[in-house]
Amino acid sequence: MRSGLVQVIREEFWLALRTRRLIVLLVMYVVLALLISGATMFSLREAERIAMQEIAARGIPPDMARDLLTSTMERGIDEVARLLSKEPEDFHPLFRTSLPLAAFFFLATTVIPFGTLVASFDLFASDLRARSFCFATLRYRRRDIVLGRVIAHTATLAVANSIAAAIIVVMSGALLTNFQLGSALQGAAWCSFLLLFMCAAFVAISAFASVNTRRPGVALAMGFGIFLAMAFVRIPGSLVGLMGPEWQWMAHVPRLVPWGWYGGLWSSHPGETALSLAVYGAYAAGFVLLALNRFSKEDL
Amino acid sequence: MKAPVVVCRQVVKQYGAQRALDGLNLEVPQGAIFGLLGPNGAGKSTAFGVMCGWLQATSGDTEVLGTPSRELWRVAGRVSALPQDASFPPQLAIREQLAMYARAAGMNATTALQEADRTLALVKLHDAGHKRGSQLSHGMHKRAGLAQALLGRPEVIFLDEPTSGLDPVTAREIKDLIASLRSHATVIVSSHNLSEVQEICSHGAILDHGRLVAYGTIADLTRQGAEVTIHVRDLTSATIRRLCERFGNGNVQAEPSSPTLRIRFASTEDPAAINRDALRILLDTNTPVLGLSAGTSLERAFIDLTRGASAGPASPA
Repeated sequence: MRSGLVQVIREEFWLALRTRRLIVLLVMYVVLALLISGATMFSLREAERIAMQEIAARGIPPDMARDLLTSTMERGIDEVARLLSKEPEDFHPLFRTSLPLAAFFFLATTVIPFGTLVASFDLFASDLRARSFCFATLRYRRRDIVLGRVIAHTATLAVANSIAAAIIVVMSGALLTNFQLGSALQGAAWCSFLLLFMCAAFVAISAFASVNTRRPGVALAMGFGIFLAMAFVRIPGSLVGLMGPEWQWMAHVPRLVPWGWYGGLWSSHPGETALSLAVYGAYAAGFVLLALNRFSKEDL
Repeated sequence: MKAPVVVCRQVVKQYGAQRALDGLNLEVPQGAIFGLLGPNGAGKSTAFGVMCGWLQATSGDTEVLGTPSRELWRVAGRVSALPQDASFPPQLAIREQLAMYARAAGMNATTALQEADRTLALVKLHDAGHKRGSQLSHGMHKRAGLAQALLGRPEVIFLDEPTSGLDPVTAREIKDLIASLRSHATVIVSSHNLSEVQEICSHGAILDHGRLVAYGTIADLTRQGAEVTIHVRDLTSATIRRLCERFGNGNVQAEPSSPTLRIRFASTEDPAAINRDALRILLDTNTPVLGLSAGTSLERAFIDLTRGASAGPASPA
């Protein structure tokens, strides 16, 4: 007999795709990602065109012109890196080669926490209210139901990320002259890989909120509350500069929440990135365990 | 003797200060159609939920087919249940959901769809398989739930109020369907409908205040070998006195002008002789006899067991 977990993932993935709200959200997300990245691409294309005109007007040979254009673009990316509080050399090379992908990644990391919450807040609450878990628990282990649902929703979001990244690569190839397919594909894969951890963490938090109530609205509010509390934890870290040396420990407080490890996702240092991913993974595992513990004791 | 398919040992379920099940011990024999009865708040639904693994007992053990109730997924496909007031998720058509549950029980995609169609036809929902959970009426929901419980060939089927909310014709069909399951499954029916339980069940248990107050075959519970109920008209004190002289004061339950009288007797006595003697006294005293039945109704037994006998032994005026 097939593994219960694999079967739950399969059924839930299929069910998630049948949930109109989730599909609408995913389509909106992909479209938004494409719009932002598209706007970046058109801006880049326009900048390229103007730069090429300038270069041509100065009588610079085409080979030199391309090098000049590339270095200008790199300086632009350095500025983007500084905006993200990173030294240019700390900015991951794959993001340096594709500004549209970097724009998409920035957008995704901003939108995913709340998008995930809206997509997954009733991962359990509706079924708890309808008692439809009575049908499922006779056939599946409760642990498999929780893990299967979290994995299926994470996978759905990961697929949406991969689709958006792939479309951006195709559009970049079609619209930009300064485009390298190999590094763009690597960049898309890297983005999808990083976002997978982030999605898992926030789906797990949504799942935890959802398994604690039989009212989807309360689950949504609870998840939002958890996210807001996490966001507020970042504030002390940003106030350290205004306070005395005895408050310097507060600089580490943001490390308690996933957002405190956000910078590591952009990093060119493998250790830093791995640590950030491990923290996101630990958050995912921790909240899944909490949800699992709650659901395994739940009276249906 | 066959091993029981459901066993509850010293099961306690506590909700805060309230004890819904108070050391329940129960065994459901294999092949039985078993009625689980009790007044409101007796712990019937709680016992049902614990047996199906939906509720976690505070203490005690419950096993179905030798598997702890909280791990019934280990015997997926062999145990099924119709929960009360559980609805199907609204995203999918009923047929697809049934097929999903059939796949969970180990069927392949094609067989699962065929099985969904078969069970939908059994509950007369063959033309409603395309409807989603949110589009079903209460009765249709109940029947869809029953179809879900009949997927495959489960050995143990739990049915909570299987005919509540159904029209009489459909309820009749469902009762016939349940009766037909006896050949290959053990069925546990939780119901408030005592006449239904008496009609379709072979065994039963009556709960009160979280405890088992009666258990056995329906024949035992209704005292079919130890009581006779006679429906009469114009019953007089003189007739009752003669009946008491023959059967003993404590064994005759009747009041002047009441439409029924009940006579209890030892199970060693011949029921035919009891009937003959009782009828002879009634005819001698010109009491019109409208009918006679062995035992008492389950309703009467239920009331006696859960609230104490409301009509005491006959006392001639």
